[in-house]
Amino acid sequence: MKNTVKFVKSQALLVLITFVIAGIGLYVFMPKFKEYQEIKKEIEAQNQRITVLTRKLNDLSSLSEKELEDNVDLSLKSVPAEKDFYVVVKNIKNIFGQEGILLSAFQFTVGEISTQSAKKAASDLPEFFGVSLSFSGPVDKTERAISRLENSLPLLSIDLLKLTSEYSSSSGQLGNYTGSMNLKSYFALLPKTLGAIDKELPKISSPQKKQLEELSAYEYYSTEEEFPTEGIAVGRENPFPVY
Amino acid sequence: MKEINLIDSQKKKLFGFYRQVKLFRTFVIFLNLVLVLVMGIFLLIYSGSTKKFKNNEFKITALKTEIGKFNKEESYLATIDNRLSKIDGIFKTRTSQTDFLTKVKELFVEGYSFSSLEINNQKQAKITGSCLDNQCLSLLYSKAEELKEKKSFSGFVFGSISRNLKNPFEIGISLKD
Repeated sequence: MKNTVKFVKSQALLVLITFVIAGIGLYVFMPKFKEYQEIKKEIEAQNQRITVLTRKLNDLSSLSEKELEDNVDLSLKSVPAEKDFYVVVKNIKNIFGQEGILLSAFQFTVGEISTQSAKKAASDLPEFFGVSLSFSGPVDKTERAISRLENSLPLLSIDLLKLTSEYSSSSGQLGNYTGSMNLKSYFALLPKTLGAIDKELPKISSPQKKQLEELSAYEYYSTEEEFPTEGIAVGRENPFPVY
Repeated sequence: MKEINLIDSQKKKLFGFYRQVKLFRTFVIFLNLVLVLVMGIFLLIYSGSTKKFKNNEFKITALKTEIGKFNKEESYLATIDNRLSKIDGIFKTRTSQTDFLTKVKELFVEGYSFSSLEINNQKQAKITGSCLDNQCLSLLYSKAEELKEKKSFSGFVFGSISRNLKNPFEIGISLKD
């Protein structure tokens, strides 16, 4: 007992230093250690974000603006952002006229106006408006017109086709027919957001590229030919014209 | 020769005690040194990590600023992606009436003329037509058999065959692709 007391007394400073070091370790370093673990996790997440962002930046830098503009133009011609029924009418009239088919009547089911239909934009399937046509002409020309309609932009689908013979022909099956057609012309509102900045860029796959190539060969009735934007005087008259 | 230890047992005990104290002190000093070293290394790692964290934050901000410059391209790409999914949806549900009509026309043999034809988006067709004579009717029937064997259509029904003065044989046919 005497020895133990003597021992403790002689080592008091050392014991104190040990306790101080252990105390610092417990009270200062333990919370720091927890903090360090959290920082480590965050650094891991940051590294992943940096990888994604770097890849995204590289992808964006490698994009051709011209190609993108062309593809946006083509894809918007295929599925317009709104009910562009003027283009649809002109396209149908143009095709039927060129094929020599008399378009006797057409009817649009325009439905809700775009501000209302905007509420339905969440769906993956595009919206559509109905078009009904009545026509008359030979079957072979009707067939060509149908084929051209199916290969024209904006994209439409033929839901119902009816052909009725105008008169009984004993000379063959390709006489004159009257017909009607129910079509769906598609449109879809544009996405409102681009998504998170650290979200990967959408990739255009090779089948999608092929699809775009196919669509570029589709017929499109351009309204720009009808309404030229150049050469129209806008604003005040120039007081110092160059002659 | 016998050896005699001249150190008495009391002192021997004391020497043993001092040796133990020395050992203990060495151990505690070593332990303290290790603890300090570990804490020092940890401090270095910790400050390195906080520095890396700050650097990464800076890097992310810089990358976001750079990406922000390509806002136009990104919006174009988002539009294309959105349209392509819609186009894909259309092509998945759309049935080509041109292809179906071409297949239906294979049925129209010499002498047969159709008076009405109705095709819907389920690729179903209802055809009413007439044959002028027995030969045409026979040809039509063999053609139907041929197409059925070729599995051109999944459903093939000859609905009715009637006869009157104007149209010798009037035939109703239902088809499904």
